Amino acid sequence: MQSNPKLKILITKQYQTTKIQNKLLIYFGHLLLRFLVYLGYGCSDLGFKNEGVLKDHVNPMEELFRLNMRRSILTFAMILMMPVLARAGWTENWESIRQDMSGVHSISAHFTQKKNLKILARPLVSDGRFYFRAPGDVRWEYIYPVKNVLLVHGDKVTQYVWTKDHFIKDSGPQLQATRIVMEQIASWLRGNFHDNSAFVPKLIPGKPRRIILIPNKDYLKNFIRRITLTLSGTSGVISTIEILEPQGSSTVLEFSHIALNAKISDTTFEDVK
Amino acid sequence: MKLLLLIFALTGLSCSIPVPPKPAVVINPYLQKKCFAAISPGIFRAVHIIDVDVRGKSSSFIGVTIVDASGDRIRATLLSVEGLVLLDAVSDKGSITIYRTMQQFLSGEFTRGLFSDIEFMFFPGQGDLTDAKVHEDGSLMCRWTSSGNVFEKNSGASGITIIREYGPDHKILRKVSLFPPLVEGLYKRMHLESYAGTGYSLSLELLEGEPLNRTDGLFTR
Repeated sequence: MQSNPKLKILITKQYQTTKIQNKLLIYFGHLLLRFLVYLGYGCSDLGFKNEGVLKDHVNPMEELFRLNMRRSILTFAMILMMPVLARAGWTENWESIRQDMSGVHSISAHFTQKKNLKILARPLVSDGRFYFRAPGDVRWEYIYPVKNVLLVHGDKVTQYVWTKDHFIKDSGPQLQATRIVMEQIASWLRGNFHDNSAFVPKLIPGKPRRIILIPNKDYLKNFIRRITLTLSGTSGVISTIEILEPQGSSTVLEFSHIALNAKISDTTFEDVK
Repeated sequence: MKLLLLIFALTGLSCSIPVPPKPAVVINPYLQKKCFAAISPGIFRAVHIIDVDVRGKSSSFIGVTIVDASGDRIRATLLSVEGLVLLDAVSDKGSITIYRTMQQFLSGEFTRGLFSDIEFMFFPGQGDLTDAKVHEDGSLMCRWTSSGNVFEKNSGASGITIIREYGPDHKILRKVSLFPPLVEGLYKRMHLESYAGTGYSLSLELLEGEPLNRTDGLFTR
C-alpha cells in the first residue's frame, strides 16, 4: 500500500452529533460523550458540528491502529461488565446488585473465544486469561493464536503486543481513551447501571438461566444485535457470553476455571510476563 | 534563415519517421512457464495473524482472505484480536465494495491499499513479462512491467521467494518475502515492507489455509 504523507482526505461523513450531544449531556454525562468522540461518532476538534472535516491523514495504517484500539476497548468494556450483569440475574433488583457487587473483590478465569463468520468453514478459536481485582485492576490476556495483553493498574493503562520473541509496549496516545473507559467500568462495578443505559437487560428463566442484553443505542446497534449471557449454577459466575453481530457473525466466550475473590498479586496487573 | 529552415525540415522529418517497434522480448519458454507458475491455488481461503508495524508502533490483527483468481475476485475481512470485524470488503475485477466497516477512514485509500497488498503478495506476476533468467546460484529471476512499475521476483534455492516493486523512477516501493513451507499451496509466513510515504511493514503468519471448490455465498454480503 502506498501512502502520501502530505495527503489530505476530506471526510464526508456527516456527524449528526448535536442531538447525540444533547441527549448524552443530559442522560450520560460528559465522560461517555468523550468516549463517543473517541469511537468516531463525533469530532472533538470542531465540536459537534454537522459538517465535513478536513483532516491530515498521515498513514492509513495508523488509523487502523486507532480503530483497532477502539474496538478492543469497547469489547473489553462489555466483557468486563458481564460478570456484574450476571449477578443481576440472580438478585433481580438493582439495589441488591450494588450490595452484591460490594462483595466481589477479584475474579480470574480462563476463556476460549470462538469467532463465527459466514465466510469461515469453522470458528476461529482463541484462548486467554482474565483477571480483575477491585476497584479497577484488570489483566485481559490472549495466549493463542495471538499473544496480546492489556493491563490496567490504578490509573496506568498499558497494552502489549507480541513481536517475534518478546512483548512490545504500545504506548500510543489512544491509551488515554482507555482510561476514560476504565472510569466507566469502575462505575459499572460499583453497580451504577442506571448511569449507563446502553443495554436493556432481560432475564430469561429456566435452566440454564440466561440474560439477554439488547442494545438500545444506535452506535451499538450498528455492530451488536444481542448479547446472551448463560449463567452457571454458582452465584456470580457465568459460563458463556454470546455476542451476536450483524450479517450472521458472532463471538462466543466460554469461561472456565473461574475463581471469585481469590488473592491476585500486584505483578499480575503490573508485569506483562 | 536557410539554416533554420533546414533544421525545421529535418526536425519535422525526424518526427514523421515511424519509430521502429521495440523488439519483443524473447523469453525462454521453460523460464516463462516457471515464472507464471501459480504461487497460490486458484480459489482459496486463508486466515492469517497479521502484525502491523508503523514507525515502531505495533499492533496485531486477524485477516481472512478469500481469493478467486480466475474470477478476479478477492474478499478481505480484517478482525481485531477480540474477533470483531473492522473491515469486510470485496474487490470484484478491481471494483471495491465495502460490506462492513467501523470507520470511514478504512473505506478509501486504506481499502484500496489493502487489496493492492493482497494482490502483490498472492499474484505478483501481473503485466508483461520482460525478463527471466537463472542465476549462477540456481535462483530464478522473473521481471514484469505494469503501468510503468517493475515487479521483480527472485525465487532462491532455499525456497524463500522475494518480490520487489519499483516505481517508474526505479525507487523501490514494496518488498515481500515469502517463507516456506507451503501449506495447501500457501506460504506459511510472509513479510511485506512498504517504503512509500511513512512506510510500514506487515508480518503474516498462516493460521489456516485451504483450497476451495466452490465460492457460493463467499463473495456476497
